[in-house]
Amino acid sequence: MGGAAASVIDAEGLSYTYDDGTVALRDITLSVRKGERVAVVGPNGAGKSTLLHILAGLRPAGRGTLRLFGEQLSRRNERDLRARLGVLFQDPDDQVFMPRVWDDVAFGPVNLGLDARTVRRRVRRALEAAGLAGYDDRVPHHLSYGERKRVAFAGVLAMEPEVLLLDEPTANLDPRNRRDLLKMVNALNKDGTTVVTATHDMGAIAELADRVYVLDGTIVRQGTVREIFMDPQLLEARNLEIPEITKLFHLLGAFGYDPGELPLSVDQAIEQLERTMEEGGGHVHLHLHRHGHALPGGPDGKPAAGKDHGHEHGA
Amino acid sequence: MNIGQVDRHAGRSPLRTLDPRCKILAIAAFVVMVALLRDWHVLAFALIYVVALLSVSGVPARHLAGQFALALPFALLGALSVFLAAGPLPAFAMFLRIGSCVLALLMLSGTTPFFDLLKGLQRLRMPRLFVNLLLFTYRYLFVIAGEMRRMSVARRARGGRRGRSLLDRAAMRTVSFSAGMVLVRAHERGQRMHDALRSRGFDGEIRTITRFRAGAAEALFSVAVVSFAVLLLAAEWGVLPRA
Ligand SMILES: Nc1ncnc2c1ncn2[C@@H]1O[C@H](COP(=O)(O)OP(=O)(O)OP(=O)(O)O)[C@@H](O)[C@H]1O
Ligand SMILES: [Mg+2]
Repeated sequence: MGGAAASVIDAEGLSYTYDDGTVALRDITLSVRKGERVAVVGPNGAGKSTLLHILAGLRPAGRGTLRLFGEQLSRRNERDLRARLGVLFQDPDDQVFMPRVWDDVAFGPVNLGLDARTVRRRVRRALEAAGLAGYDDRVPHHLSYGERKRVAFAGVLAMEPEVLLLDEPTANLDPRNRRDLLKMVNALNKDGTTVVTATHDMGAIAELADRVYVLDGTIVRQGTVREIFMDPQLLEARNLEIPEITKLFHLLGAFGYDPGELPLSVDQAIEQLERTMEEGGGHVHLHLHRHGHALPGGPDGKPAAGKDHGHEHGA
Repeated sequence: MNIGQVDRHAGRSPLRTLDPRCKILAIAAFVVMVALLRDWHVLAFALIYVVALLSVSGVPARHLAGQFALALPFALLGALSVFLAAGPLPAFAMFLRIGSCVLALLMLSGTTPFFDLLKGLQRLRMPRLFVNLLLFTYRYLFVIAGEMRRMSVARRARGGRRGRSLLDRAAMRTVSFSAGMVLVRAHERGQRMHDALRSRGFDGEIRTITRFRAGAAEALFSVAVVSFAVLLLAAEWGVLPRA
């Protein structure tokens, strides 16, 4: 991504207070450039969903300025700007409302004023992409939660937005659908779609983001995924956890294995093991040391136990 | 919940593919005319005719019986009030009248997917607010019913109990709090829904790309339904010679 890419979302000093007086967001400044993959992470109640709704131009912030595609939101342009942003809501029941899956997915494209043929093509493509081929005539309220989430996602995809704002996209998906979703979003990103994901699924952001904002009412930190993952105090304080695979490789450090760059996902871990094995003549060497290394990510860093020297050989 | 099931068997009905506009108009005309009938003999014919139509509509009898049972109390109540005012025969006529009208409407709702029905109403210039209201009510009844069910389960999981009577004050208290919660949640959900609709370009009108076309089948159906009702009216008003 070139550094000169156009700015898609520019927020400065945004604050938001709900009607009942709950201060959900304070002084949020962030920016997203075209083609970027950005994650907003934070504990429950951090304001992730609220922030996505505001960034999508659906609710005016109480204070601060928001520019979308370089333009300030106004009555005249809000409909056009909103159509360029696709929002996947956290709860599919907020979003899926037609009594038939096909009609729900077609709702957005029809509102865009597309002709019938284009609508049909887009709906079919979106349903396939969401793994919902053959669901045309199903009734949404008889579908499972994960299926409804995918219907909602298909409804967003069918609008072919330039920016995807995804609220907990992986919640309640089974492993295969989760993997398919991550793959599809990344494929869209390759074709130029900007992706903003709000989640506390840290495993997902390793695969779905390059840059991370840590949110807890206000933005407490920003950095690359790796920088955020390597800051155990920050994660602990904000109730977040690095993926198990990253923890495991950290732990391997205590066994004399030098992971170099810690893998953030299983794919990266496999890649790294393969590289190590190539360098080590087909072996991965592990030793037990007496002194223990503290494990980041868990405050109770377990010391490397045992007294003997152990060798593990991987073929 | 029975409401969501009205169109469950619509997919299998031979009447499904008929233009919903024709179905709505023909059946509405039938209902209006049957409501004008007074003589129970004639009304009995109306009922038999509707049942005959239903038997070829492909909607299972059990499904119909279940739906009809929901309307039965109203039919009985109507008959009872007429019975008190005017005696048994008019009461029987009232029961037949309500029964045939309800069954005719069940034929409409049972053979038409709900959304097609709404699209039909929309094409017939039903005010858009009304159509949208029906649509959202239909969809969100399930969401709210589901929320109520989950809350009730959660309550019992934490040792709450169902009240045995309306006089059980503790149980009533819990129920009223729950009702309040449902309203609060419904309000918040309403706002999020509105956001979601706007994010997909909603401006107050639900558009579709479906084109309806009325042809020979529709004409046949309309004539079959409407002409029989006309015949019955004519019979009762003495236009036809009595057999
Ligand atoms: N409609 C509302 N009215 C009042 N307060 C609200 C409303 N919606 C959310 N809040 C409050 O605003 C804060 C932020 O909520 P938000 O839903 O944005 O958090 P979140 O980070 O998305 O949480 P989660 O991880 O649970 O989805 C919370 O304290 C929440 O209680
Ligand atoms: Mg949220």
